[in-house]
Amino acid sequence: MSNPDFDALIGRVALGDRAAFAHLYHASSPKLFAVCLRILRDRTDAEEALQEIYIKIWQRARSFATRSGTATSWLVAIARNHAIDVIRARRPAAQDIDDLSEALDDGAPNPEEVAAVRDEGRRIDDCMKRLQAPQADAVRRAYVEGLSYLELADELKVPLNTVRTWLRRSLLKLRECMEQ
Amino acid sequence: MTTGDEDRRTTSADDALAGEYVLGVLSTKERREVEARMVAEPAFARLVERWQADTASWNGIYGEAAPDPVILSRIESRLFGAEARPPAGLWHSLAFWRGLAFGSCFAAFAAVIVASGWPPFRAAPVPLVAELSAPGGTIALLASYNAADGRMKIVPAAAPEAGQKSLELWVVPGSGSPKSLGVLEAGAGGEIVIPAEMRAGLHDGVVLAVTVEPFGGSPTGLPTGPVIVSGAVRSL
Repeated sequence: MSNPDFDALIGRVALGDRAAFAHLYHASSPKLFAVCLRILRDRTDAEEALQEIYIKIWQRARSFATRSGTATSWLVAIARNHAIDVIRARRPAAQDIDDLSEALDDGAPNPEEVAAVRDEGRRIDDCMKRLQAPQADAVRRAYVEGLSYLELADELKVPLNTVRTWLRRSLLKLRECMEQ
Repeated sequence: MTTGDEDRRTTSADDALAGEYVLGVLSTKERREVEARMVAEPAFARLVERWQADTASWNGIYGEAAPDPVILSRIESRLFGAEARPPAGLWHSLAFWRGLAFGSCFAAFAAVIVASGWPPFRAAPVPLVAELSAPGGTIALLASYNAADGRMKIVPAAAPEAGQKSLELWVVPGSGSPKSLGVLEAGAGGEIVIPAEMRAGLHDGVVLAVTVEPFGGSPTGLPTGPVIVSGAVRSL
């Protein structure tokens, strides 16, 4: 779905072009539907979610031009965020994990806080190799399947706080690696 | 980059939180908190966007799956309403229009305006028409909407309940018998061209009246049906 025309299509959708919207739907819905199916694991739920997702795409198309990132990742992010919200509502995640932000926050400013998307940064998959295999696997599965901390802890048979600690550490290792 | 007051420096903890949000592991409550920060703190929003871009290479893992073809039309009708399905909808629902009493014609008309405001009529293939009438009424208003230029025209017509009837316009002079000014024809856009010899008779004080006549107008040259509206002419 790496279609360079998506940028133009979303731009036309932002202007209220319904034909462009239908075109965008036909070109992108197989990918977004796969996202819904993977995260929601139910076809009816996925179809309901898909409708909501395209309604959001229609409504938010105007904000796309001002955002970084490719059209495809913008579309997938809308789909993933919606599907994750649906699954969280259905299977509530633990709300009471200890807040680790204090423990992790050493007060040092983020060295790359400009946070522009840099092409010269290392690819995430190269950096994933530097993580221990189970942790890299957990990070990737959390992303692809939309797993909550509770589900990750269950699957990995580790306490909730532990899984959160090492997942956050894994994220910071990835960031450090990608900035090298 | 922006340097607003609230655009404060981000920390490693912020970056980890942004990553957690993008992975999707947070609870609903935490997700809403993160989204609120994204709105309030552009620097934090950029951390989220960066994780989103970084992890985009995993999107290929999802593959593709074709949804039911009916989904798009459901989305379109939810977004665009009845207009997405031209044959259906309020405009074409005779039951809707006929259910309205004549007295509520203008309320109905207001409803039409509201209905046409959103979703906006755009690129409709044919002009939209509605007959505003009342059960047992003898007059109807024919509303037609031209999507191309946004003009709506309201033209009086004989109500369908009146059968094949016409509305005829009369001028009633101060003395003498009424004289026909012509038949109101729906297709004429509400206009009647007054015959040249009748024009001198249109002035302050004369009365205009509309009667229901057999289709095509009075066969006798004089009103034969009931007067449904009348009023005196005056200068503005």
